[in-house]
Amino acid sequence: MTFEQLTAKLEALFPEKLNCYTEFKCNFIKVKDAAAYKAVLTALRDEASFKYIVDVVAVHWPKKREKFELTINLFSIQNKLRVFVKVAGEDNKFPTITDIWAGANLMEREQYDLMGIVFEGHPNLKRVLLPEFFEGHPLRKDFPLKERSWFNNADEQGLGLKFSR
Amino acid sequence: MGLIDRKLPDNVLTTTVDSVINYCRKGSIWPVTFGLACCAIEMMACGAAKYDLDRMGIIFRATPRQSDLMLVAGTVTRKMAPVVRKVYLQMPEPKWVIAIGSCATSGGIYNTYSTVQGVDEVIPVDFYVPGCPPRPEAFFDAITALQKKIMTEKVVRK
Amino acid sequence: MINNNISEVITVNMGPQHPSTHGVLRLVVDIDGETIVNVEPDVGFLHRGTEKLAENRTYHQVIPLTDRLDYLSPLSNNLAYCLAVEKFFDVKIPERAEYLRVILAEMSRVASHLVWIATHALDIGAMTVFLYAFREREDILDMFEVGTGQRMTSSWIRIGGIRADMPEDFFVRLKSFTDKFDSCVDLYENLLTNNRIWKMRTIGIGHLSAEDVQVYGTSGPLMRGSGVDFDLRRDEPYGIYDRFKWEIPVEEAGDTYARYKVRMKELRESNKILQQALEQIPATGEVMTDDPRVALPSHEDVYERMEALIRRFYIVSKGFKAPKGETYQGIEAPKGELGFYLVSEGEERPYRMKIRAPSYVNLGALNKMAAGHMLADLVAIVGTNDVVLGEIDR
Repeated sequence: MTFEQLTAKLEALFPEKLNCYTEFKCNFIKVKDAAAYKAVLTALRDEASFKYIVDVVAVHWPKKREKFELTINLFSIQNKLRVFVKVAGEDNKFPTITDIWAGANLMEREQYDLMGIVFEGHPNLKRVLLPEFFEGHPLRKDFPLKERSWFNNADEQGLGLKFSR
Repeated sequence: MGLIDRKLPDNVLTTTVDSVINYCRKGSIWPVTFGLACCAIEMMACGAAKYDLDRMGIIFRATPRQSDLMLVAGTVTRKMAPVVRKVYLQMPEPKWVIAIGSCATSGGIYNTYSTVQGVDEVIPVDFYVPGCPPRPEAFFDAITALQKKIMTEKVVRK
Repeated sequence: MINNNISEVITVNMGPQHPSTHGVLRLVVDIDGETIVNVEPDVGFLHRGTEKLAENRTYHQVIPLTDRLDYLSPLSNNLAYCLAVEKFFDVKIPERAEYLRVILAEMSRVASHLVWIATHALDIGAMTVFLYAFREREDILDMFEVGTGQRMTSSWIRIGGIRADMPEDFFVRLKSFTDKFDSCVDLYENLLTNNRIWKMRTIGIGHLSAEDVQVYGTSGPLMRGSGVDFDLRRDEPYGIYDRFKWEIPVEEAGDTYARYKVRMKELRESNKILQQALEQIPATGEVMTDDPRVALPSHEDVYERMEALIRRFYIVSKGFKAPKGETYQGIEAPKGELGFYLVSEGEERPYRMKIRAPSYVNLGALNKMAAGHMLADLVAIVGTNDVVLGEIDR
């Protein structure tokens, strides 16, 4: 199945809700109606053999109306085809996809940690790369690069550490 | 030395307690394996066949309780810093620390929100080895420098 | 009197300072007696903020950061990043550079797998393999040093080609290395493949089915060890891999032993690719593209022409602008699918760079692999996962 065939198939299933395009040799499926987002992913898995989940990417667009954008990277080993499913939202809340792919668990936790996307229905949504006492989400565009004042927020081991630089 | 030289029987040498103990210490440095990042791979390469740290009496120990040298090889982040400190506190005296690589020395290229700018914010450091990662020869240089330092220490009066 | 019917789950901590976690991985393990009930990896002890740092650097300046992700195979990371940026420009890479890229990437794969077999065997209790595998790894690092001047993090693959051509000595050394390397793999296999202790520690441990690996997104040898015939070098071709004849090793069993066999075969297949690349590589030629959008003008040009000097100064100091859009490039790195997702706003710096790190995703399946096994087997399972913390934490 090529991307054109997949597009035709999806357009028949979800008329007027998708925008499929190819950019820099990558195939994107933009879900215009956020309500259909999970139905599109389930259809891709069950009817178009996209069983292998590659990645979950969140992007912060502070100047746009839809401030957060989520990109799910999927690969079909059967058809040797890669698609990116995109969905955008005004606030940082998106439904989780851990019930469709169990491997999305860690990927979504990472995006929650670094970008502050709240995945509704996620079984274990807590910080993964940064400690619990970290404030904010570093990959957002308004987070300063060298913000290190949080270093002294906690003394979790009771060692009396003081960071000055 | 000259006065008592001929008054002692054969096979007796005179020296100081300091230098005997220091001599033993410098020949059996046991570092704690504390690989944090890229430099740890070069540290492993030092321990392997070609460079062979064993010939200097260096055997990596997996526990801080049995070691007297800490090789901090890699980037220290805020999340890791209390662990570094804790492992250091668990080591028995006398203990020395070598910071390996630019990250452990000064934060290196990682001047970001999560990286500690040099391990000397957390623990005292004896020697800094530059490089990203440093070559094994630089490791050996640091270790021979440490051995020289050990020979100058006063054991009894400490 | 001991009542055997009472079972009590206790939580133990493993790491971050633990000799067999390959760095600073912390595992919170719930055990019932000695049986693992649940494993939760706690990562982030090496989180250096690479993705944030990349947003504030030009496209050229990001290359040294990629070296330090998967520090066992730095040149594979360079390759993945450069291919992703090149997708923006559709650059034509010179022939000789393509071959050198394949050679460097496959050498990195061999070096990475050698560290994996060394540490995996050391964790399970076979120290001899460690010493032999590092002996061969030193040969590869020496070749890197001859060619690039740096043992590990050389940043040698650049956007539009490679930094400079390799000296003659590099090819002489590589030829003799590829000639002897198959017998070296025989040596490791002699020590392990039929070793009874090795088989008892690995067969049936950490099972993943073909369905699981796709649902969890675990790629690379973990996928091929579970019977899924998938390799990005063939299925989403990049570079010039279609010119070589090699096989993709697949094992059906899905346990630690199967993954061991897959990686050992990969060592031989990489060696085959290296031999063919050495035969086919054109004797001379450019190694950097002359596309003025990404490549620095040559030194001769800079000394002669004002425009070239300005261009060079501009690219070095300010960087080049990538067109607006988003792109992704995944390569078959030693650990699995390594990908760079780049979002460009038409500026000199990437607006967002997401690294798809294979080790991080593979770690998601750890609980699935380890539940029900003994605590001592966890060491084997972490070893077979082939984790590199620089890549997991980024």
